[in-house]
Amino acid sequence: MSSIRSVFNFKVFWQNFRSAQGLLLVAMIIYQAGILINCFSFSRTPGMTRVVAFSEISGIISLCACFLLPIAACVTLFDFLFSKKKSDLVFSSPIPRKTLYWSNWAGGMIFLLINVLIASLMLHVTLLRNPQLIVENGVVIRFLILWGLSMMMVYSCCCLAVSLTGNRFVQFVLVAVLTLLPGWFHYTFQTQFYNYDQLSQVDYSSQKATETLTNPYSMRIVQDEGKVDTLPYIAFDQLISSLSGMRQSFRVTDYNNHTAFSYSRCWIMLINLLAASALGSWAFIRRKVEVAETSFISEAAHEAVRIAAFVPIFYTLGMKDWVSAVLYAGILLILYHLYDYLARREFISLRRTLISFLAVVAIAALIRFPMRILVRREASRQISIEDVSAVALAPASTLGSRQHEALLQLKLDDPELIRLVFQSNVNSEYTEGSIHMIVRFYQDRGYSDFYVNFAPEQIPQLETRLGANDQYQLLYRSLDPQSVYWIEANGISAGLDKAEVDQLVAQLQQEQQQQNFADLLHETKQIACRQSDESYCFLSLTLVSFENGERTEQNVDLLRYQSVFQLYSSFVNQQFLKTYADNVRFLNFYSMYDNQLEQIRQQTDLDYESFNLRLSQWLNENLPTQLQKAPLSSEEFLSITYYDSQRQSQGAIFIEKNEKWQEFVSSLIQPE
Amino acid sequence: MIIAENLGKKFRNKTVIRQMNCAIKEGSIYGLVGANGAGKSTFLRMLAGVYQPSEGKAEINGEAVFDNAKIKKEIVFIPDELYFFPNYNFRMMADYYASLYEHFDRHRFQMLCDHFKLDTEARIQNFSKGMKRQGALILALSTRAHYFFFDETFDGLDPVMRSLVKSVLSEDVAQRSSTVLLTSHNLRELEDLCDHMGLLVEGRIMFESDIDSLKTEMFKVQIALPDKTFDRDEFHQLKVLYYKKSGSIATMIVKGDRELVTDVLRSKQPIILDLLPLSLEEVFIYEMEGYGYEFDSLRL
Repeated sequence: MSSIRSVFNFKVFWQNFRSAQGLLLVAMIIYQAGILINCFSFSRTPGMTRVVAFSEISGIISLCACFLLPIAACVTLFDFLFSKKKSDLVFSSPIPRKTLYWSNWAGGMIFLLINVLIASLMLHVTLLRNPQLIVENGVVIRFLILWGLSMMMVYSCCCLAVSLTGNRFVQFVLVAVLTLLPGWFHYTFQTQFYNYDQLSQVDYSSQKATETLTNPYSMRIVQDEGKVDTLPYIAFDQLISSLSGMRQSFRVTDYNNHTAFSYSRCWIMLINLLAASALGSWAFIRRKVEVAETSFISEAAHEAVRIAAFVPIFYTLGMKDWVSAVLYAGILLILYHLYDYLARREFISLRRTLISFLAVVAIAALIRFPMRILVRREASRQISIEDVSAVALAPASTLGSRQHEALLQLKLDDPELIRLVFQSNVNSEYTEGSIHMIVRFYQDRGYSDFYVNFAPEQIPQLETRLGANDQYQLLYRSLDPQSVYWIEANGISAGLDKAEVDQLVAQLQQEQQQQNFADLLHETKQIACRQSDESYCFLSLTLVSFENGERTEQNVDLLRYQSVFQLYSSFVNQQFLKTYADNVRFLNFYSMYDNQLEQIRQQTDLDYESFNLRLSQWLNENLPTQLQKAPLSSEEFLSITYYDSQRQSQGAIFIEKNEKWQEFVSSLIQPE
Repeated sequence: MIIAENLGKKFRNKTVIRQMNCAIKEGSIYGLVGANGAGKSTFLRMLAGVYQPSEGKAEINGEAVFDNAKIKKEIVFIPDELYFFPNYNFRMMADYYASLYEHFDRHRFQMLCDHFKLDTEARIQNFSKGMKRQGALILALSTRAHYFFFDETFDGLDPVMRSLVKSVLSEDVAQRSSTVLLTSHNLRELEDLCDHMGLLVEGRIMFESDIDSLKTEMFKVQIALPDKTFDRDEFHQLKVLYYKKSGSIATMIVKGDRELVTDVLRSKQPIILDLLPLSLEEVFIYEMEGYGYEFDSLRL
């Protein structure tokens, strides 16, 4: 107990917390207000059942809070390091440095935890109050864990930064460097290794994918299918993943980075948190930072931050020509002075400016030139067409995704395709309408990846070759049967649960002699595509899957199999029976070849009300028996769309056009 | 016992304290004087455990002070620039001190506050500089610590308060044998309070002595001899720190036993002989000249 008290002293903790309460409370209120506004925005969609993604729940507020709250906590709780007056009071008091550090550390952690707990509680209440909002199981818990850990990890980095530098401003920069630099390195290296000029001199300026690669440090927001993603997210994620050496597990576009959740990621953050905290404690106790900039270590950290912060700027801006180099050097010198002025309220000496500048140039060169040598050496290795056994192609825009990886693993040994790829290199100039592909050349052993630019005139040929390859098409659509949750048919949700989908899959497999589902879908698509011109019956299914809280859809043309259709229509019609009540109104009547019912209604001047009533009565009597039978062929069923006013949603039922149905249709022609 | 041995402190490339040696006895009031930037505050901060010495050692009762909570419980440091937590009053500050110093005497705190007519419930930020300093002194004395380090103690206090503070400090030392270390650049403030003084110049204690011997061992002598052509060599038996002759009268600063010096001078059969006491300020200036420092520009 006494050993715990020697590390954590509640009085010290409470005293510092209490003296810092003003700023902490302001930070807390801003964060909670942001979360509250976010919650209100969820609630503003009445009457629409929708899936709430983790990204919506987290939002930009959580990201900002993830950086700003820990910095605010650290700046206020460790403010005695920045203020000579307070440091006299604190350091002369009989509190061991160990206790001082860990008590303030705990104070910050508790503050952050309280914030995330309140935010989670507000989210939970919002979700409970809105039955229309469908959320993944435990999304609030995930929110709590992920953002709680992220904030605490940034806080521990802040503690480390502040213990090393003892300077408020340098602390900001150091935290930025710690969190953003790994991401920058990752992107830089990735860019370099894809930027071989052997096969293509690509103009990177006009394509979205390459913009991301060549301007990795930009802070712009990429809006993509409603997802908000920013490069700091990626950089932050890269910090975690690159430090852990598990970068492959956290591919950049595999998910919306800041929204992703995985327990391994949490473990990594926890390890980083503990490491940074322990290192901070060591720096605080052993290195004996007294007050702003009085020790060698704080001086060294100050210089290290200057160099580390400006290397990416120098590197990213580039040294393309002498004029640019001089211009950038000028910008760098201004930034140096600004940094020093903000950090120490004094201007850097000329000697130190030159030393730091030279260090930045040297480090930038050390990064750049070995990279260039590697790239050129790689580029100088000419690959002849004879050496290539197969190629794999993936659009550059899919870079980093699982789909991209899958496509690059699919070996295409089509000689025509290989020839086409090699031809594309002849004309390497970027032209309007050309497309970028990343091509993997498979040789005897191993492979090499290159950017390849396909000119507009080559695209139809490429599409033909790739379109003919159904496996490629399937992978391109990222079909993953394991993640199917429900199925939509002809744009109408069948509302199947996982067990029903599994049953459907089993039925499909049974029909196709135990083929696996992916092959089956692949084959079905081939059949459907081939026969669509002949007006053959098939059903368009949408496979809806959830991965990491993100909803993805893939359309598949399916269903020539009667028993599968029988099962499917049975599920759908059972759903209808469950919801069937006075609030159902029939909207449209489809068959694959005619709109017989609509024609009859028009011919006989039946109004919708009476028509609905008669149809309802007939369905009431006959639908249960219809479920027992399978339609004999596609021509023998009809789908009817209805609108459920209570649930405010559309649905569909399938009717067999049997004798009883024909009788009913005939009866419609007769006047009542 | 406070001991500084070869103590040094560097900030960036600037050495503030160098090779400092000093020993302060228990139960004494030690005054440290020096010009601005001499290193007084830095020295106190090292003794209080705020800074870690770059070299040498700063010890109290044989133990290093830095990061030593046991020793620090016996130390209170009141810096030149005071810090109080925002929105606090003196009662709340007393609570803070009481949480750190187990022997904190609330009764004494209240008594001293009454004595100094300080409102313990009013916010400190509304107080004047002098009142804040009074409050800091009261808080320090209420801790019942054994070592008090005060930097620019009397800064901002009016003459009445100064004498009150001096009497409270003297009383505490007399009653509890506590040790007080004070710094100031004003010698007059310290001479009637301290029993020892040290002079800090450019990060080094140039000399230290007890006040009584300082005052009794140095005099200003005005002398005229029958032979008007006499010069400094005439007094080679004495330790003359300063010598100036105007016409037939010489003015000297002499260090040594008063009686012995008088005997030597009388043996010269002087026409005029006056032995005048020196102020502490003059003693320090002439002592420093004895070490080769030039203070002509400072001498008033």
